[in-house]
Amino acid sequence: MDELLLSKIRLGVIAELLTAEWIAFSELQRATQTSNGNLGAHLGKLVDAGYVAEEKTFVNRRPQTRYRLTPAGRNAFVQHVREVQTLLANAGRS
Amino acid sequence: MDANEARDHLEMVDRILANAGDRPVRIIPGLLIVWGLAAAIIDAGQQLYMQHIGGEAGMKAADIALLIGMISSIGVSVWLWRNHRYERISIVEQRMARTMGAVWFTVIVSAFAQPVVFAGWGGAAVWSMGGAIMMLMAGFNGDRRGLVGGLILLASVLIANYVTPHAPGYALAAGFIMGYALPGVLYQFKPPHGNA
Repeated sequence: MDELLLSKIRLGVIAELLTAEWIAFSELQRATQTSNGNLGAHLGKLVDAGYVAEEKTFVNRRPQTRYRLTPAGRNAFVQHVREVQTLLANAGRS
Repeated sequence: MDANEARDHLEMVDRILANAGDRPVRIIPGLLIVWGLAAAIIDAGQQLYMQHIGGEAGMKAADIALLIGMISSIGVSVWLWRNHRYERISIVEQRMARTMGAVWFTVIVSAFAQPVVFAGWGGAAVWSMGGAIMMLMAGFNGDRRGLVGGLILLASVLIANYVTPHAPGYALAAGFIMGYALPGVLYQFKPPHGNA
């Protein structure tokens, strides 16, 4: 299993980004219901791993930080979910 | 990770993906209002022009007003697009935006195929069809107002084909007001669910 995605918040962030072209930090915060600092730390790990790309821009002269899922992040998510499903299936058998 | 935790994680993922599927495609209301009104004025103005209402000076003034209206519509659109603050853009919305870009690019190019290829009201009808495609795309992605707007625009083209020669422009103009500008006003005051 992917160590990074064992965190529920990080898995939630990747799941949110899965169907999005990009999501702003504030919206991710709303979606995951985490504090600023906590989400920032989790996103930092995902960005460092290359699972998520960060881009800073200005809209209405106000800064906005956007995040998008990378192909590596998408592959890691699919692989991780497959392994979690296998774990559940095995647990059901035993 | 134990089975309970695994189940909890998968349920969360399912919930997030299900919610994403429920999100409607969003449209910038100002764009619909500006372009709906501009197109309606152009269609109605063209009808007046063809009926020689207002004399030669009036027609020249109308031409200049239409040109200014068109240029200012483009300016307002660019301003609205650049200043609209979204917090999330879905993959569906991104694809729809690209498709819309292709549709409107084609429509604008077709404007230069008048009056030979698109004679009479053909050119104006192409704009109505472009608007209808845009609204129907939103409609087919779950937006009821978009669906109704698209159908109104399509109906206006059909009606324009069968009314007296003094009315096609007014029919097309009514289509743009009812099927494009009015949904824009409704989006403005009551955005679709999830309009982040």
